[in-house]
Amino acid sequence: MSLTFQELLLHLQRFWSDQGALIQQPYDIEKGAGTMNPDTFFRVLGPEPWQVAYCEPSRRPGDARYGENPFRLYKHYQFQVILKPSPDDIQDRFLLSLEKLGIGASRHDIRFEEDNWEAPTLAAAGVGWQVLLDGMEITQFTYFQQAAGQDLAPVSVEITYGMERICMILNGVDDTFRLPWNSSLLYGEVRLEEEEQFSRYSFDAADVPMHFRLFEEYEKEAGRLLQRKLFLPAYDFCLKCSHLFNVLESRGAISVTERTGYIQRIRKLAVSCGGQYLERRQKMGFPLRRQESSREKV
Amino acid sequence: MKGSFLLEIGCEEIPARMISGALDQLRTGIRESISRERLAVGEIRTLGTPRRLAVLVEGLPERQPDREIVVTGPACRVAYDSGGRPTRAAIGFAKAQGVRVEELQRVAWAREEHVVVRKRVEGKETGEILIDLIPRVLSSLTFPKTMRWGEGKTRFVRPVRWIVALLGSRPLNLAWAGVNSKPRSHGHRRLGSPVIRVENSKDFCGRLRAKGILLDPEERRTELRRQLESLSGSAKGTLVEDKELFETVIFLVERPLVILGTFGEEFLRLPEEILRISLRHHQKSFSVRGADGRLRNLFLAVADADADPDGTIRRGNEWVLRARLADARFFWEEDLKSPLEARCEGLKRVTFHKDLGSYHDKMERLVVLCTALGREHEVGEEILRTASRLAKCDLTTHLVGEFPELQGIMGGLFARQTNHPQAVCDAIYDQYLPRSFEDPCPRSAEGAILGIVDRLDTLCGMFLLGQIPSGSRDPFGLRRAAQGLCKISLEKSLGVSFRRLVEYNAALHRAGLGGADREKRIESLLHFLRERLAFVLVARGHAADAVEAVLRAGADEPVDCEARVSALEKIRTDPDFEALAIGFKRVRNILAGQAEISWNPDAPRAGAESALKDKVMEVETGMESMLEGKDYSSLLRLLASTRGAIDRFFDEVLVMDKDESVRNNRIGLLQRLSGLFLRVADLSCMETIEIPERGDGE
Repeated sequence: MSLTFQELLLHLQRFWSDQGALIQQPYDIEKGAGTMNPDTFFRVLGPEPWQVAYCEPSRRPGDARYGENPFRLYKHYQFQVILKPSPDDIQDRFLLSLEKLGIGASRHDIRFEEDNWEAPTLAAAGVGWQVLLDGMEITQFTYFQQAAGQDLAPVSVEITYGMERICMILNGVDDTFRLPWNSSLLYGEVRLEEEEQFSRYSFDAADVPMHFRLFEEYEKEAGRLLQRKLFLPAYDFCLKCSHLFNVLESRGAISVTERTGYIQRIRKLAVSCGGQYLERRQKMGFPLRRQESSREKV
Repeated sequence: MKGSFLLEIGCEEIPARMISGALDQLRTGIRESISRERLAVGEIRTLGTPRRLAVLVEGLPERQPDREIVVTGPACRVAYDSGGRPTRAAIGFAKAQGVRVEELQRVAWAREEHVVVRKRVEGKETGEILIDLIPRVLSSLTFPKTMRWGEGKTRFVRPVRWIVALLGSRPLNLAWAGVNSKPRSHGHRRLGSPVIRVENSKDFCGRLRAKGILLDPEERRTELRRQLESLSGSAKGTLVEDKELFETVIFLVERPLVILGTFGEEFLRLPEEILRISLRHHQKSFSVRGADGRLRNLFLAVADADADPDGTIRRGNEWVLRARLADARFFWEEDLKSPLEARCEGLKRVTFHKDLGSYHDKMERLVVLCTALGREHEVGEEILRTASRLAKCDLTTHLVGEFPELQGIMGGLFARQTNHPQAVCDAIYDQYLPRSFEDPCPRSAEGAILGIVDRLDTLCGMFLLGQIPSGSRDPFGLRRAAQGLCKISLEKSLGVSFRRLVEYNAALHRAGLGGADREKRIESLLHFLRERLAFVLVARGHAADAVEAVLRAGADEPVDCEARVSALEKIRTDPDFEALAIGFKRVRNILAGQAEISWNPDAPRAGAESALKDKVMEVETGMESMLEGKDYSSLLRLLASTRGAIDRFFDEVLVMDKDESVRNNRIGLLQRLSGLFLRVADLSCMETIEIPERGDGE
């Protein structure tokens, strides 16, 4: 089955919507992975059930290739699903989602190979697999064990579909930029210019002293907001710091020894934000928990 | 009637590297806990795939044997009155135990007589025992990494999804990890994991096989080997063996299907090492060699499937591999743009260890030590200077970033590209050999020296920092490094002195490293090297007691140690050896705790004492040239010639004479004699028959 990029997105949204997940939109701040979206980072904490799916554009300055490499991109799209607590039949549901896309287990070799995940800046870690389809990595499948430095129970499962990868397989195209975005436009026609410019920005143009300055300012602002218990805006600034750090790293401005220090600073903010979120939800009596009995079980 | 028990734990995919360990633990755990329950047990087999761990126990009895227990009641003086009639205490006890008071017996216990009840306890039924025991065994399994899922209440390597437990044809209701057992297993993912009813414990393997799952890893091994060989044969090529990859793949699939695919011939221009790693690293595919010995543009991927009729799996794998090879080629071409020399400066930005500086610092130490050793061993000093300067430069290449296991190998290939002499390239290429104990050593003496110095530098730095391995904690792989060092030295006959090397290297590290403990840490490194050398010598087939005897007489130079061990092993079969070793033990026993006495060869002596002195002098003169030529066999034979004189000495002379000067002369003589032996080995730790108990000088 050949499926355009946007149809793929719509299919996955439809599927997980039918499974009872809340369909969210991407969060409007630069980030390296869908996990950093507040709908994942905060909601996996605490006892309240949560089911969400959204598509998150993820920016990784270090992976930028001026649009010249058919597989590596400054920005790619992750389709992210979070289910808390993880359902017993989650692997089957995931396989069903692939089948609905036309990727049936009976014709393919679908394998779950160990791949544990760790995000030091979020003090988060998980255990799981990369899912290989005929040898190609198409999805990360992770049971969150920790986030914001907290051990998680109930445990959330995170499924991260690599949109470009899956679309390439569905269309038999081996160049991201030649994927059909819709019936008239190619991925490259929509995004190539963006890849070129942001690659130049990431490697050559970004103003290093200004980025360092902004890091300091944003970190300070996050700290100030945390003192006033405004953990949501504080987390925005934490995300901004994380992106600045990524840019500075791709500019080669951060040495190996300094690196750990910057990661620790972002992590400290993330841990505080997570802690305040939990405190707040507890004060509110974990309101989503009471829906558990009335809502139809996902 | 003997019964059989089947247990299957269905899981989400267990990491390949953890499955055999889990199966071993499961077998041991079940055997031990079953025999603790006094159940006789026949064969226990554990089998498994990524999705299931299974146990098959044969020959179980229906129940535990009955046993008698004794319940102790009150002391007899309380239980019976003066007339011997049971008191309220006895009656109460009997009632509580459900027996008549006349049935109470008397037994001495804790210094006085008590009443007791002997009861026959019926053995529990085997199924009941298993229901209780299996969950405990499962909870005791350990894994390198575990996780929680769902409500997060249990921990295991991966989520548990079903449990099958059958005793004969009877389903056992056991519960573990939030799952209740049912007589229902699940089939292959490819078929949508359909339910498989399990009616009895017999031939479970066969039942799964019929559903396309090879439960027994051994069956998968046979099948994988057959397919690999038949497909490479059909392509008129030979399989490139890869034991580690083979074992990984076995535990990645429930049934192996080997797929033969091709890649573009243009990639054959890449070095073979890069091709092979690209196939193996991400794609877990095997390579194929042609009749001319060169790699073919073929790969063998292993899928978890029964067939690939329309080639979907093959095309997918070819497609991914093409992308991987294009990436690798891109990295290779990018990396070639800056030659190794130009990368030296970049090593300043690569941390070796935060307290030991950068790889540039390490490189500078390597250059000093390698050239010094090169000069000493009269091998290419210039070759070593260049090789050690460039050895670590590949750390800044894209390819090593992508495939860390190519360290050294890439350096060698890059050096080749910039027309360095072959000897330089080989030394860099081989520097990490042997990677495992079975691995070969570097081909050339230069490669061997680089390999020894690199490991020594790491060992020395880590020990100075106090990072000393203990128990199973060895995060920097220092044991392996030390063993590699010893192995290279022995196999390449490179005579090096541990102490000189360590002290030389320690002086090159940052001044003050190790602080007040510096000397102590150097000594513990030397001790560590001695232990690793003992391990390597035994692994090379030497007898443990001979190794210990030799190392006690000096453990500083591996090659010299092995020469002494070999000589000792040769002479130990001589008919006189046993007596010689016993004689030496007596010498050591007498000398134990004696202070060193300066020896006077001209002191008056007579009889056996004078004869032994002459012998000692004779051996002393004779041994110098043998020591010089390291002719330890002749030397040991020469030492053995003292046996008669020693025996006679002990028969006729009383060492502990009342006269102090006589006594000291005799002790001094024995110390001198003992010193001669200790140039080679401490024979007192050789395994011999016990020393006959005899008084001194009887």
